[in-house]
Amino acid sequence: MKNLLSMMLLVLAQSVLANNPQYDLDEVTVEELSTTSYPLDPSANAIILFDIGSARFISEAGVGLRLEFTRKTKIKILTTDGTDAANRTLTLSVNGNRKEELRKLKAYSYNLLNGNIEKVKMAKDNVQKEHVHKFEDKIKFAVPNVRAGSIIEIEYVISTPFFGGLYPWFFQSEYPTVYSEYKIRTPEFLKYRPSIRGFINIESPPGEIVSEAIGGISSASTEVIMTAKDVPAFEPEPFISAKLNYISRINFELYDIAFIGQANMVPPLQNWADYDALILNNENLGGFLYGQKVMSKITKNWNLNSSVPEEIMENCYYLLKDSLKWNGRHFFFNTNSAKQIWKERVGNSAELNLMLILLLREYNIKADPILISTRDNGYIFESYPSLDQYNHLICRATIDDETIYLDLTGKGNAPGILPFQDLSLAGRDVLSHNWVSLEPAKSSQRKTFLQIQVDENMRLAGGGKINLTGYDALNYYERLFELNNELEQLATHYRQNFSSSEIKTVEFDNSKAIEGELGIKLNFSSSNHCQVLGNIISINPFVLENLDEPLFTSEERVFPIDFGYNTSESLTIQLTIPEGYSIKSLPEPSIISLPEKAGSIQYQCTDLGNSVLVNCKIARNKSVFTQDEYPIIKQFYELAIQKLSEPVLFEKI
Amino acid sequence: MNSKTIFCWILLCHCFLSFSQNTVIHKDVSGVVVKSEGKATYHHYKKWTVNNEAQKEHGYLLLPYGNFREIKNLSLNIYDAHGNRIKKVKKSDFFDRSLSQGFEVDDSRGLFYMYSSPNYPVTFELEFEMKLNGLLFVEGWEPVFDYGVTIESGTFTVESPNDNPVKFKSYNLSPPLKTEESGSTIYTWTISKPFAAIASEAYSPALRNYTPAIQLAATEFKMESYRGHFKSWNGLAQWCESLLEGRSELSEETHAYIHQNFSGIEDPRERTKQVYKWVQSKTRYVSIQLGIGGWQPMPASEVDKNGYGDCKALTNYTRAALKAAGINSYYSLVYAGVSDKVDIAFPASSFNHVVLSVPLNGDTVWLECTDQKSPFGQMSPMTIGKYSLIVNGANSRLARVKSIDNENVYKTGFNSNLDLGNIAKPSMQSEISYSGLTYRQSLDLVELPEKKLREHFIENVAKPSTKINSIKAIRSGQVINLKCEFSNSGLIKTIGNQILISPAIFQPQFAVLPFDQHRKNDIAFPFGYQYTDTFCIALPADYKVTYLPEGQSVTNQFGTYDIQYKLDNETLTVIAFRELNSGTFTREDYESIREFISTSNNLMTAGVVLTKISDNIPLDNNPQLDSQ
Repeated sequence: MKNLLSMMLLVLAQSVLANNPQYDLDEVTVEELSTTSYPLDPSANAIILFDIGSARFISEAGVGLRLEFTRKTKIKILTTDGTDAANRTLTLSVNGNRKEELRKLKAYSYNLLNGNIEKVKMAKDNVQKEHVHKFEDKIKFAVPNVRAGSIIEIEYVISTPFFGGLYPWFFQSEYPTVYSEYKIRTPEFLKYRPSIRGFINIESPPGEIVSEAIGGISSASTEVIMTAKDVPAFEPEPFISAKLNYISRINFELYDIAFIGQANMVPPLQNWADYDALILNNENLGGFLYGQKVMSKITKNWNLNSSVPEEIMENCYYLLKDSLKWNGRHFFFNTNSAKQIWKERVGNSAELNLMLILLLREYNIKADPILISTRDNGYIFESYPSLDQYNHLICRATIDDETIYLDLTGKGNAPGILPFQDLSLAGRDVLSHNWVSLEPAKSSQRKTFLQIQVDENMRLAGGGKINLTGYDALNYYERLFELNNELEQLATHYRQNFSSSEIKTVEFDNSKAIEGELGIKLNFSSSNHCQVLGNIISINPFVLENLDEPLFTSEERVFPIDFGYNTSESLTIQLTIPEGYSIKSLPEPSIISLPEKAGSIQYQCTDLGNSVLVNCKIARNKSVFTQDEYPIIKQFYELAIQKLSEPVLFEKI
Repeated sequence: MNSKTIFCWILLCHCFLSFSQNTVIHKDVSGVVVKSEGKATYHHYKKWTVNNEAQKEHGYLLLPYGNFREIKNLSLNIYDAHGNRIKKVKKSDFFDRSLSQGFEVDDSRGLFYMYSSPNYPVTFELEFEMKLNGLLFVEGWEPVFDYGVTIESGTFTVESPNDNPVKFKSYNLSPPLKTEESGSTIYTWTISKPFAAIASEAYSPALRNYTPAIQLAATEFKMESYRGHFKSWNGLAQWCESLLEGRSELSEETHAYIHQNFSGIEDPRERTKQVYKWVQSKTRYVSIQLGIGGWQPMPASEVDKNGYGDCKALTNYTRAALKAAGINSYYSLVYAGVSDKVDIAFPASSFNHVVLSVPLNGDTVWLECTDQKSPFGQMSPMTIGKYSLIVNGANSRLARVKSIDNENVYKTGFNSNLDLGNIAKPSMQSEISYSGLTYRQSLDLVELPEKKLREHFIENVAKPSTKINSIKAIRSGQVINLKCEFSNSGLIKTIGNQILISPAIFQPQFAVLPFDQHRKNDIAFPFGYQYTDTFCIALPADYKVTYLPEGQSVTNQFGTYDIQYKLDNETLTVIAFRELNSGTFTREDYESIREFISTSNNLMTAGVVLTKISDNIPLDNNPQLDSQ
């Protein structure tokens, strides 16, 4: 009894503390309304002064358990563009008769009018409900009387029967936030695992125990208050994966339901191995991997003409790629049986790759599923075990201790080259309970060989070839796949979209598609790489490179730089010395290296008598750099552009 | 205006590709039966084959509907390459969803079916009926829905009662067959021999210039209880006026406020400008168009209260405010888009936007009321030069939208001073002016904090390793000036006792055209581009100009390039002007345009040589001597 009392006192103290008038609604001051800028972020169009949410469970007569999410937000509008913050959309999920409900929606705007505060309440006709489709309604409301300088306040309650993910909270948005708070109270019979993402500091003191009764069931519930202060606006940067990997937010997953005095309804899921077991015991995926007999029937009449495992693997990969169509959806398990999939010839991403696994196993090649999350879906956070982080399943084949990753959703990728979407740090081997790296073992290469002359109009003309591997080649193969493998069409596309030189002819060679290599032969002319200065000719030999657009422009970096894969580029250009001219000067040779061999630039010009040979190699041997390494990687590419911009000079003899 | 009621029923994908295997429409049989001034039925049957994955969007179906459109008897069959039916799709299999985007509030909805085929070719057979309630817009026929689409055969029929005949205009089609039936007339157009696909090429003119199409308009129509006619443009204007009735009243308070604050301004133009600015500061654009609200503005009193509205509401509100300030102005319909939809000889519902026209001393100022940042009188590139229907009772008329600078040109000017005081560390002072259409694009620069401005400069103007000493963006009138002082060793090239300088260092290159001997379409440049450049070099005392290129100047129908060099004692000035005209050019001109762009770009590579004065080497006093 004494314990309970002290606990209640504690809760009381907590609520008094949280009851800071600064975060109350209807406390707008003339000072706040007079503010015109936000010193922490001079470019802000609006500031979220506070954004306070809470979630707790209630029981409603005739409806049962529901989660009640309450939110109050106060926003200062600084510019005309910031008035967008007064147009709000709330999404309400619907599933048959079960739907989320919006209650107690109120909004106000405040403005200074001749030194006095004018307060306008949002009316009914400022709110519209839209039936988007059968799973979703939207409430759209426009707070009235809002302009640069206004303050708006919004409060509402959403009651939801869907609480498998509790109610997620974003601490960060497109506007800077002065104070963000989320209070969750979860009953002891529902266990949630939180997962916090992002790059800002979120205060999360240990939870307090609160006694309550929910629908007649008493519960020692846990109440946690998470807060963040002075949160900067979220701004995407180049070379990041999904936005969701970087924005500061909290998600939850329900992992256990246990009523007091009763056996657990489902075994609690504590770690990744528990989830592995759950996935494998699932009748869909588990049943697929162990129970399907359809493959032997399918392969009965096939003759793969090979006993070499690598060739069998390649043949299986291409055979299925030709016969099965991806329906465009990423999924980490199947919803149809192998028989159905084969009949329909269509499947989700997991179904396609599971078919491949079965097929390879039929030919005694070791093949296992690897569960991953695509780049757009976000990295898997290993410290937060949960099922909803996965969205895709790929195949790993093992031949003589060599592993080859295969994914039939790719367009035009060779075996062993995963679609770029799959390059998302790590995947899960659910059979052996291990994480595996998805980083490609080999760099993507681009090798350019060109011969260039100065033509009679004093412009550059020339030709040569480019050999591509890995993801550099895949870009073209993806396009080619869409064009029914018509090389002529790909050439037309290339010609029309090339901007730094005028392409005369271009030919693609896809004879090494199975190794993921591509060849390009081309002839071109350029009107802006050759400069005549009296008896001097100044030439930039890198006619196919775009040296004007830097990779990085910002001076600071918040997020890590994720290129996805390594690259290695080599350019060999033979430049004929024009008749009647001799070399005046050549760029100095140069070697630039990144620390720990993460990258290098090697540049050299050689006088061959009748011509100049320009050689340049640029390699980046690391695919993810931390934000601290940003200045170095930025400078690396700046130096590369600077070096490549140096001219070769000829002079009239 | 509600642009989504315009009947576009396939998501168009604009990839700049040409296909050897086009999508083939085997048969398109469509038609309209008008029953009364408020009711009609549209029916549609089409069978077509999509031949490859790259054109898969040609098999993605979206059938829009809404308050005034109802889809009935919908069926879709899908066949494989051998003609076997692989899917029979019912109306309930289509996915029904709202079409409003972002914060738009309207009742446009669509039925979606996106079939992802395992193999190509795949053939679709679609049939449905649509009930039209209200005939402001009557669906016509544009069977060729994209580049790379061939049609083998098709017919379109229009049946209407003789007391309210549907007016029509056909494009790229033979005259129709006319038949009469008790009290009604039927017109039938036929495509009997295949119409070849239009290739998808960069800078192609709009598809509808070349493909068969029929535009329809009811002679007399009704939307809800509002009646109108299309006997002349006046009919539509009067209809709009009837929808505006009683919606332009302001509260006494607002009226008094306007009177008090603006009536004292003598000059009507200045008064208009101040009222416009006041409305801009008080309102924001929010698209809310429910039911007849797709055409009828929210009352001015509500805009006053809410501080927001759509294009109709904000235009009507600005009109009311100007009226309170003693200025007459007119609600004006326009089609906002890349190419105009208005055929002046054919009055029809061809508009999707509303702007305000204000006649001032014989000159008309046009106002865009949905943009809070738009300078007074500057119109968006989407409306400049388009035909607008000025709603003004019996004096309603069509006129072309004018912008304050009245140019469809993106203009950038450079004014630079190169300082060679320290040759190892050359520095530059530049003032870049953005005007014309570029002005509107660059307005945000003024509000950017310095950090972002530096990024903008590196990304769009200077080379990556530039060191910026100072930078600021200032707005003066219709021009944004970006002033920057910076240094970069790459600005010049020193070699021995010589310095090589490229004066047009910042001049953007015009996008080059590829060599193409098989160009099929004409070439359309919807906008013009203009670059001016003044570059001054104060010559270092111990250097002399030893090479100056010759000035050049060319003007033709595609544009102009002109570069001139002036040398006085201590200063070298280079003045360059380049222009690429907007317009449509024939395909025979393709190679000439390509060469013009190429030469114009090439000209900008010209350079100057300075040589150090040395006592030992006698100097040539004529710097032109070295040129070829």
